[in-house]
Amino acid sequence: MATTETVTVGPLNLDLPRFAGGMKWIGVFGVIGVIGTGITLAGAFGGNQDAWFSYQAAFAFWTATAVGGLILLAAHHAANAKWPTAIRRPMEAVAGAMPVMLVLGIPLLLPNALSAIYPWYHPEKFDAELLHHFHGHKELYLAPGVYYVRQAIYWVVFLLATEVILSWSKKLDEVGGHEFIRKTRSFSAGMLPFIILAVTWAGFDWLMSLTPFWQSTIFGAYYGAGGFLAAIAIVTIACLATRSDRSMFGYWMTKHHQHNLGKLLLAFVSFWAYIGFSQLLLVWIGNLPEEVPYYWIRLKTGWLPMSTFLIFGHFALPFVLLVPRTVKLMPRLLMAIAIWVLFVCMVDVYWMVLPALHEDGPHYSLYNFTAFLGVGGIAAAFAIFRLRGRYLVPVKDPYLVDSLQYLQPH
Amino acid sequence: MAHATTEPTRSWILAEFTHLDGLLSACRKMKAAGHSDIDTYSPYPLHGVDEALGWKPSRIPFIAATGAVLGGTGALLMMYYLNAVHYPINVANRLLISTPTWIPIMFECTVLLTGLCTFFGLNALNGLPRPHHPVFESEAFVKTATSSAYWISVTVPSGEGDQQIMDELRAVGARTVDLVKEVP
Repeated sequence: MATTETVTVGPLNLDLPRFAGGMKWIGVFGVIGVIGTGITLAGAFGGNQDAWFSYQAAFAFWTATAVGGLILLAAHHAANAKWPTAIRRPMEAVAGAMPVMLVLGIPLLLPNALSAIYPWYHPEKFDAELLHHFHGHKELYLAPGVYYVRQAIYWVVFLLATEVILSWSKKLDEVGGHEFIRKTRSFSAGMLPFIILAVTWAGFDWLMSLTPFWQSTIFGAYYGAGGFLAAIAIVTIACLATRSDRSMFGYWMTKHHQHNLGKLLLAFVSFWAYIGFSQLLLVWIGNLPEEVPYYWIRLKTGWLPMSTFLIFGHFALPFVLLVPRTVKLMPRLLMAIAIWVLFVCMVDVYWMVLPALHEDGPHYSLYNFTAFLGVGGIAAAFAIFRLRGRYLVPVKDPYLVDSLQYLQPH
Repeated sequence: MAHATTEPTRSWILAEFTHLDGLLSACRKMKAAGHSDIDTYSPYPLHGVDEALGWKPSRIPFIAATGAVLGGTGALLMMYYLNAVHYPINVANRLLISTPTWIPIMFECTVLLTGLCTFFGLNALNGLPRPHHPVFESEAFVKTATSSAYWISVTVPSGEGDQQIMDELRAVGARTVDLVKEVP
């Protein structure tokens, strides 16, 4: 069971073993991942557009989740937050999937993918009016060469931030002390603006440019908020699922940490709804011919049920459930809510991507499922694999005691 | 009045502690002795008093939730009536029932009524506003209750073992013990 506020662990002398398990989960996720990704990519390279769009959606979702984990981690370091120390490792694990996300994203950089997914890759197919608009405003930004340069910048930012923070975390496990905590704090604070700008532009590039004549300045924040929420959900699930094993982070998660995870879920479910609604409201009020189609497709066609589902499933239901304090303290219920939130975050990205392909309504295909399961499976297997050989609690972190003694203010 | 009132008068037994631990053990002891009207006073946030006195969770979340529901639905109905029934205006050919534009006002009204219900509900549950309270009659209480000490009050019908309760409170380490009696 989770420790309580009377825990006395002494100054940082936790004799925990290094993590040597997880092979079962690596196997399960790895097999799901390879099969799912294999089927999806085979379909995609065979010319199936559903496969390409599904793969794009899955890649965008899981990358945003990894970036969300990175932001969560960097924000806690930058704020010198002591309470999450005991449950920092799952945040690092989520961010740690970053390198494999780059590998999984490579097929989407190939001309086949750009050609199948993005209308701006073939400007010659636009009618005269659109082409005029394209030449006037978007031609340079959406030129493939410039697109590639931007991708390189995003990945440099994401990978640099992740790998530096993770390598210092590894060093901290060996030497302890304040040196690496301090370094990570400065580095995180410096990198956060770049990470957030990169994920904003990545959202523009990967998802918003699916409809190249529609734009919303808040779109990147919306995309990033979904990924951030998914990352919090995964951390919550991971902590709650490992409560019985003393060598795992979940065992060291107190009810006060759990309460905080519940509060973060509540806050970012609300944040997602706030950003999503702001975007809709601005388009609604503006009523501009170039902005309306995005919502017309989602509200006036077969996509309406999914849009309605998102309002209730992604906001109203988890919001109402997460408001009472007692719910945030019930492990099973909180776990169920976190799994649900992770699921609706996937639906949200699906809802952003697939209407660009099927404007009349959802056409479910096998690839929708293989893509999300496949990319997610590989990412999860890789993230767990990276944890092997590490302590699952930062045993030498000077703030571990503070974290374990953290009390919820009330 | 010439005739005595039939209502029994009450006594407030007050005890001052210098540490939270003393206050908590006094709370537990008084609770165990079967006294139901116990309260605590301190300038500091008191962790653990609710548990020591066995208080049930506050009813304020339900009052706040009532405010939230009333505010949200009230604003929705108000805007429906104003914009779609009583004085419909065609705004750039948008729908008369233009829900997205109503949501900010629904949100504001939800927050407003939640806040008002919380504020007034909290005051009502606490019996406020109340300009005077019998415990203010104790000079020792007035001196430190709002600046430095931990106080407990036990309210009992007058004469029912006042002295015994005072002795018990001294026994758990009270620095000062005082008695306030209601005048019939």
